[in-house]
This record gives sequence, structure tokens and C-alpha cells, in this order.
Amino acid sequence: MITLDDPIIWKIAFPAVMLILAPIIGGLLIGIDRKLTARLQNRAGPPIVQPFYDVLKLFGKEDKIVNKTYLVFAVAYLLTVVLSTGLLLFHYDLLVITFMFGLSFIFLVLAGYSVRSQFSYVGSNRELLQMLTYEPILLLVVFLDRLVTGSFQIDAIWSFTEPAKTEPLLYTLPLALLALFLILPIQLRKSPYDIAEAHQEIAQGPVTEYTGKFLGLVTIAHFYEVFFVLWFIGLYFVQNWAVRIGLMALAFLFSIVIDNVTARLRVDQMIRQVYIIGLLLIIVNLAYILITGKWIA
Amino acid sequence: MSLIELSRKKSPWVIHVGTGGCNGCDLEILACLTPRFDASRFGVMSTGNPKHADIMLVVGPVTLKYKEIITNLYNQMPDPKVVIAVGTCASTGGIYQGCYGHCGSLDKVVPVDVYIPGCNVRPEAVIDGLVLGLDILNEKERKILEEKKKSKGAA
Amino acid sequence: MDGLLLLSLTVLVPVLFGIISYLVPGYNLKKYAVILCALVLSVASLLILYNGPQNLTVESINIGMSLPVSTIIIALDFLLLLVFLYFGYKDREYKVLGLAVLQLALLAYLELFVAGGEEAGITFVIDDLSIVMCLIVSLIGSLILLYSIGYMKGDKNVSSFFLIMMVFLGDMNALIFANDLTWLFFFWEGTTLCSFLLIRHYRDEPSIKASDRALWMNLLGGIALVCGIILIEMMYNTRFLSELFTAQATMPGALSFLPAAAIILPFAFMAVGAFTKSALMPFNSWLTGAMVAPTPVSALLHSSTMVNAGVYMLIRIAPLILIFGGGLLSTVITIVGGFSFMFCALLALSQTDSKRILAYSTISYLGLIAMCTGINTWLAITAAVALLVFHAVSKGLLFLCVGEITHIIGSRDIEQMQGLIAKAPLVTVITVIGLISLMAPPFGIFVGKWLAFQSASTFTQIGWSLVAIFFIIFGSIFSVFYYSRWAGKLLATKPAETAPPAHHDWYMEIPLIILAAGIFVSVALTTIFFTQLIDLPDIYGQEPGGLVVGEVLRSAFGGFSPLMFLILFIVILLIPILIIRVPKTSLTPTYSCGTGKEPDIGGGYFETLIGESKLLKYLNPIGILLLAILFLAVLL
Ligand code: SF4
Repeated sequence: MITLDDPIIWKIAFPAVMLILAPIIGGLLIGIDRKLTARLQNRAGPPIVQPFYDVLKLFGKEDKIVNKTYLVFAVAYLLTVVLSTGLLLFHYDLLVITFMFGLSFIFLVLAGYSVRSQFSYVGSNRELLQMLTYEPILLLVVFLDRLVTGSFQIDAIWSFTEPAKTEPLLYTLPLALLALFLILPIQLRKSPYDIAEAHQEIAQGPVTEYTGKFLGLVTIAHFYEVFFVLWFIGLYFVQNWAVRIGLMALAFLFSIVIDNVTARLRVDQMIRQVYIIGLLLIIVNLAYILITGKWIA
Repeated sequence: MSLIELSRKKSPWVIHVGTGGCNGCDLEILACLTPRFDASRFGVMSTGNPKHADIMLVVGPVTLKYKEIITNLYNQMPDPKVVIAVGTCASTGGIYQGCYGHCGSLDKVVPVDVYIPGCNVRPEAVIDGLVLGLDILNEKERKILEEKKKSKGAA
Repeated sequence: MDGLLLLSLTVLVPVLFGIISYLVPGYNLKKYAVILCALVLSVASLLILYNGPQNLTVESINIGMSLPVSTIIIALDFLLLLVFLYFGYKDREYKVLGLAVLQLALLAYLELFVAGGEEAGITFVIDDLSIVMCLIVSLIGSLILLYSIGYMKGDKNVSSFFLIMMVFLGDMNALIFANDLTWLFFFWEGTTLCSFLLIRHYRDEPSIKASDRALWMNLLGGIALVCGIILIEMMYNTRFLSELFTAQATMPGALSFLPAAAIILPFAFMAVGAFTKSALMPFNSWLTGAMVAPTPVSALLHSSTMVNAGVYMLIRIAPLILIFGGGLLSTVITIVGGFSFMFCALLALSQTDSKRILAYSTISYLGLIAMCTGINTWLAITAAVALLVFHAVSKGLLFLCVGEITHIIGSRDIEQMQGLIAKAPLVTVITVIGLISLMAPPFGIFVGKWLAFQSASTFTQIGWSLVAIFFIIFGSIFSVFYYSRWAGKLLATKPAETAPPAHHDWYMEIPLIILAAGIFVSVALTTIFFTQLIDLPDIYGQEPGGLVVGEVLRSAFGGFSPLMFLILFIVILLIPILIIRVPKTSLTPTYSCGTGKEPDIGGGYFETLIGESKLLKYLNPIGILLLAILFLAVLL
């Protein structure tokens, strides 16, 4: 008889179910985002399930293809994002997860570069610059996590045995969480840092040349990304499900509000802002955990 | 109605092309996206990229220079696709009738599915035209599939 | 099997074949000599691997009469320096002249006045590190030799080219087995000479200039090394590397004004020597200048010989630094390495010349290796050795690819390589594999970076560990930037573009295929490699729980399985490659606002922001400052 606190449920069944639900959750969140944005602008807005209509429609369209390479990379991008989401759900090594998530970006960039279109070329260039901006911050945050929990394994966040670990990450790393909020718009491709997919200037950046089902696949990958990013933030309060979901919702709302109240920035502005503010937050937080001695060598 | 056909009706992505009109209708199309008319209720999204679009909204009488461009854009749109001529000048030539330097009307260049008359058109009319176009999308897809079946049978 | 026989197979046989190939007339005969040499060398290195660790003493050679090897080597050493003097005089290069004279004086002082450890000892040591190095030198070196048969066809000076290449390989093998420091010094200077001659292969103005620059910088390193050796003999009273582990350090009377901590001074000198050989930051210009040489030479310098000698030296002296308490010295080495890693990656970002990109990326990865030796823990040294191997395979491959691409399109500019996959699919795909292997998980460099990241996290002082991690993160991200841009360029074809197939030269393509396979094999065998071939001195202790658990690499903080991720990676790319079909009817041009024109795309190199002229102005002084800090750290 399997009961609800059986480790099998939480170690295998739950992550597996979540992995299947992830794109649905991600898509719904994007739908909510569009609805909320519309309401903020005093519009009615599309229905919440609109992202799914979009994807389904894309699967019913004709393919217009430039070459095979970029399609291969698009599928590889989707698979890598799914893989990193899976690794995150199944509690793998946080460092490896971060690098795998970075690999998905690399695939997207390669996809953009491998068609001779000025829009995807510029988009890929910008995508790389965005990666250049957020990846160091993300890795440093992961390093701080490791300092506090004593391990890169996600499981370590749950091990409440040692006294230093009983607190949620939020209490020891509040500023690192803020740094994550800072790079959230980049990861979710939202204003003010939606520089790579700036559709008013450069069509859709790296995804300009996709049509039909491949565009649909890229969109699904984006659903996974939304889920991944928010779940990552959820790691900061694993002690309590309500707070954890609240934290994710807060991050999500934060990104929507920021998206609506800011205009797109230039690349150099983005790099400067994120580096200066992000590094500052991380250094102050590092100083805090070093002074209070809440770190494990 | 299958799920994909339903979604197709729910998610028209639009590319908006100005081919040399007076820009009056262009502004009205943009007005459709504003809170007052809010075409995004119907899932309309302005993409600016023919490869992602389902519906092409064309304004203006198609100047000779623009002829090639509009055919290229039309060819790059994946099937099923709908072309809507917005405004009198795109539909018939309008006030440019008999003028040198343009093709006369849009349907002399690419096949047009919906004509929205008016000089300039009202946003309500544009939305009306868009909704008309939605039904044509599914019809077109059915036709394409039938033709495919036929050619397969013939082969 | 007899160790001596194997040793002579790896050291003397290449030299012998070199001389044969020099003497025989006609390209065909030379070709066979080269092929034979490559075969013998590879088999010998595999036999050494099979034979395992061994200590050898070579005192004299018997050819009719008994010749003491030591004397021969010392005589050759002086001869070598006279050759340098000759070239310095010929090219009117006063830096070379001065440095060669200084080195002569120091060497004479070493041989005549320093009496440290005259007794006989083990002259050659075959241990796990040297086996790994020997495999790199011999296997990759042989492939480069094969490749150059195709590449150098029709070259005027081909006989001397093959001679020097093979002597280089033999000399490099001797260097990594040598245990006697004076011998090691001779082989060290031997690599300087060989690289010098190879860089000036074309005998034109730029190559002579570049070779002279390489020469004086390496002579500077030679001086640092010989100073280190003199000090070692004075302080530790031995001239054998292996005996240093148990040596008793005493401060000689002449140097008694130095503080007690200066006992690690010789290692600081040796580290500087290693920096010059590996072209780390203040010395980077000789390696980027060396790009004028034929591509096989660059491949040899960058992947299997020259620059590896430097980091090899660092790995060798790292445990000694630990034993004799040079924590501060290690920290400075970390920073010098990390500095090179990050900023050379940044410099590579602004380059369009593919060979320069590769040169800067070589320096940057060598910086990473040096950084690992500076972190100096069990995990870090493992990372250093692993990076050395993986980097050699990937970088050798990439240089050979660039050589072949240059043959096909007549340019080294990556802007010109756009859509190369339509013209030369095989080479392009292999190049892309090489590029991806240098930036993406789960390939070798990633394994190395992962280990480096883990070891930086254990670094005792949290402040320095943060600096190290900072360097690793930014260096990696910059590398991803320039590699993915290049890879994307290669793949950007027009729809339905076909071109007449480029001509095939199997001498050039077989090494490429083997090396590309080598990338995958090396990742798949990572765990075996770590358990079997990395045997560190006891001073490092053992990683608690062991690094390798089954197929999983595991540190104190986490773990992953390279093999599993390799399989996943291949699956991720193979699924779409196999499934996706592109029907001719759905091909369409790219979106160019309907104009139907093919846009010219390119750029994004940020020369005005991070170009060489902008950055080197600041970076070189900082590099020199770091060297000064290196000595200060020892002396204060
Ligand atoms: S229909 Fe009339 S208002 Fe509209 S673009 Fe043409 S001329 Fe202008």
C-alpha cells in the first residue's frame, strides 16, 4: 500500500507528473500573463488558454523551411530544455542543471546563426549577449546556494539535519533571490531585457525563420523555460508548500509588472545594470553569510 | 470541428503591410489593437513576419515597386493563409484610380479573400473583416487537403 | 617489455626517422618515412601505457665505446645556446643575443660551480603523468605528422620541415620522461629551438619577426628555469625531480639574507619558466605571433607539444610547492592562470581570424589549467590533467580543420566561412564537433571545468575561491560566445545550396576523423581514465569517497556521469537529424522584408570595445605586475 508520504511518490511519481504538466503550467502562466497585461491596459485580452490555441494552430500549418540545420537545433533546444527541467525536478546536481540550461541557450543561438537571415543573426548575437549577462549571475547564485547548503545537490536543500541547514534558503540568501529576480526578465524574455526577441526591431530574433510545427516546438520549449525558471526560484523556500508557491507567484507577478512598466533597454545598458546590481547583491549576501558563519566549507 | 481547426479560428496572427496608401487605414488597423477595440480578444497578434502569420492585411493600391515585395511576402506565408484588402484603395484603386505608378488594386497581384471597403475603414470594419477571414482559413485548409488527396490518388 | 627500449622508441626513433626523411630524395620516400615514424611512435606510446610506471637509469651509451650521456647532453646544451647566439646575431636581434649570453653564463655557473647532487640517480621516470603526456604527444603528434603529408605537399623546405617536426616530438617525449633537471633543461631548450625553426618555416619577413619574438620570450623562460635549477641544487642538494619529494631544504650561506619562506623561490622561477612556455598573460604575444607558421606547426605547438610543456611543469612542481609550504605562491599562480583564462577569452571574442581565435583560446585554456595547478588540491590537479588531455584532442582537431578549410576557401577569416557546410560537409561537421566539444556539456572541457569549479569551491580561503570562481565563470561564458558564433557561421547555408564537392585528400581527412572520434571516446572513457591513469603524490591525500563511483564522477559537493550525458547529448542531436526530412517543395528563402535579396550579414566583434589594441595596453602591464607579485609573495 503506497501512502502519500512514501518516498517513491515524492522522488519519482511527483517529478514525472510535474515534467508532463510543466508545459501546461508554463503555457497557462503565459496565458495569465497576457490576460493580466491586457487588464492592466484596460483591455479585455485573449482567453487564458490562448497560448495553447497558438501552439495547436502552428501544428496545423505548412512548413516553410530554409535548411535542415536550424530545425535540428530547434528540436535539440526543446529536448535540452525538457532535459534540464527533468533534472531539476528529479533533484540532480544544481551546477550540472545550470550548465544544461545554458546548453539549451547555445542550441537556440546556433539555430539562429545557421540561417542566413539578418534578423536571426542579430537576434542570436543579442541572445549570446543576454546569456553573457545572466549566466554569471546564475552561476554565482548557485555557488552561494552551495556555500549555504554545503553541496551542489538539490537534495541538500531538503536535508534539515544540520543546524545550519534548517532555515529556508530565503532567510540566508535573500539578496541572491533578488539577483535571481533581476535576471528573471532575461530568462523569460520580457521587457526591459527582451533584447533578443525584440519583435518590433528584428522580427522575432533567432526564431524568425521558423514556421509551422517547428515554431510550435520552440514555443513549447518556452513553456518549459517559464516553468523551469519559476521552479528554480521555488527552491528558496522548500519547507512550506504554500510559501513556496507564493514565492513563485510573486516572482511571476513581479516579472509581469516590470514587463508592463518598463521599455526595452539597449544591450550595454542591460549588461551594466545587471552586472553592477547583481554582483553587488551577491557580494553583500556573501558577506552576510560569511559574517554570520552560515556557510559550510 | 477538430481541435486544430478550432485553434486556427482562435489564433489569427496578422502581418500588416502598407503598400503605398495614404496611411489612413494603417492607423485604423493599429487602432484595432488599442483598448477601445482590442482585437487581441480574438487572439489577434501582430507579428511583422510573414513566416509566422496567418492573415495578411494589405493597405494601399500596391505601387509598382511594391509588387515584387508583396508577392514575395505572400509566397513566404505558410498555408493556410488569407489576404485581406483593407480600404478602398487596396480593394479597387480608390482615389488612386487611373493614376500611373501602381497596379490598380491588390487582387491584380495576389489572390484576395476579403475586401474591406471604406476610405478610410473603420476599426469595427477591420475586425469584421478579420472574423470573416477566420472561416476562410479553415475552408482553405480543407481544400488543400482534398487536393493533396486527389493528387495522391492520381499518382 | 624493456623500459629502455620503449624510451628509445619514443625519443630516438622519431629523431632517426627525421634524419632519414631528411636524407631520402623525393616526396614519396619522405612520405613513407613519416608514416612509419607515426606508426612506430603511436605503437610505442601504447606500449608504454601497457607497460605501466617504471624508473630508468641511463648513464652511458655503448656504441663501441662507452659514452657518458650526461656529458653529451651538457655539450649539446652549450651547442644549442651557440645556435641561438648565431640566430640572434644573424637577425640582429639583440634581445636574443643578450638573453642567450646570459643563459650561457648561468649554465656554465650551474655546471662548474654548483655542486648539488653529483651522485647518480634515476634519470628517466615513467609515471602516470608522463604516460598521459606521452600519449598526447605521440598519438596526436603522429596524426599531425600524417596530416602534414597532405598539407605540405609542394612546399619548398619540406625536408627540413619533417626533420624538425619529428625531432620536436622526440624531444618532447624526452622532456616529459626526464627526471634529471639538467637534462630536462636541455630538452626544454630543445623545444624552444624546434618551435623557433618551425615558426620561421616560410623565411619571410613576418615569420622571421614572429620567430625571433618567440625565441627571446622562451629564452627568458629558459633563464627562469635555469635559475630555478641552480637554486634547487643549492637549496635542496639534488638535481632529480623525484628526490625533491624527500629532500631536506637548507638555505645556502650565500643566500642567507633571504627570509626562510624563500625556500620555495626556485619553484617561483620554474613557474615563470612555465608561464613563458605556455604563453600565459604577459607572454601571450609569442603564441599569437606564431600563427604565421604552417597550420600543422600551429596544431603541434598548441595541442601536443610546446605549450603543454609549460603546464606539465606546473603540474610537476605543484605538489612540491605544497610540501614546502608555498600557499601564497599557489594563490598567485591561480590568479595569473585565471587572469589569462578570462581575458584571453575576451580577446578571442574580438577576432575574426580563425587561427588567432584558436590561439587566444589555447592561451585561455592553458590559463585554466595553470589555475587548477594553483588551486592545488586533489580535485584541481585531476582537473588540470583532464583538461590537458581533452584540450589537446579538441585543439589539435580544430587547427587541422582550419588548415583544411584554408586549403578549400583560401582564407582563414571566419566571415568567409559562412555556409561552408554546403561546400565541404565532412570538414565542417568535424569542425563543429570540435567547437562544440570546447564549450558545451558534456564534453571533456566541460568535465574539466566542472572539476575546476568543484575544486575552487573547496579552496580553503573563501575570498580567493570566489576570485577563482569568478574567473572560471566569465572565461567559460566568453568562450561560449566566440565558439558558438563561429559554429553558427559554418552552418549558415542558403536554401537548397549545393556546390561541387571539394577535392579529398585522405592524408588530411583521416587524422580529422580519428581525432573527432577521439573526442567522443575520450569523454566516454573519462571515468576509466580518472581511475586508471591519474595517480597523484601522497601529499594530496585522497578524495573522500573517491572521485569515480561507477560511471559517476563525484566530488564532495555533487556529481554527474559524463557517459550518460554524452549519450543524452548524442540522442538529443540524433533524433532530429534522423527524423526531420526537408521536402524540396517547402524550401523557401529567408525573410528579408520581402525584397528577396540576400543580405550581407556579419560583424558583432566589438573591436572598438575589446579589440587587441584596446585591451593589451592594460593587460600586459597587469600581467607583468602579477609576475612581480609572484616573487613578492615568495620573498615576503
Ligand atoms: S483607402 Fe483611403 S484612407 Fe485608406 S489608405 Fe487608401 S486612400 Fe488612405
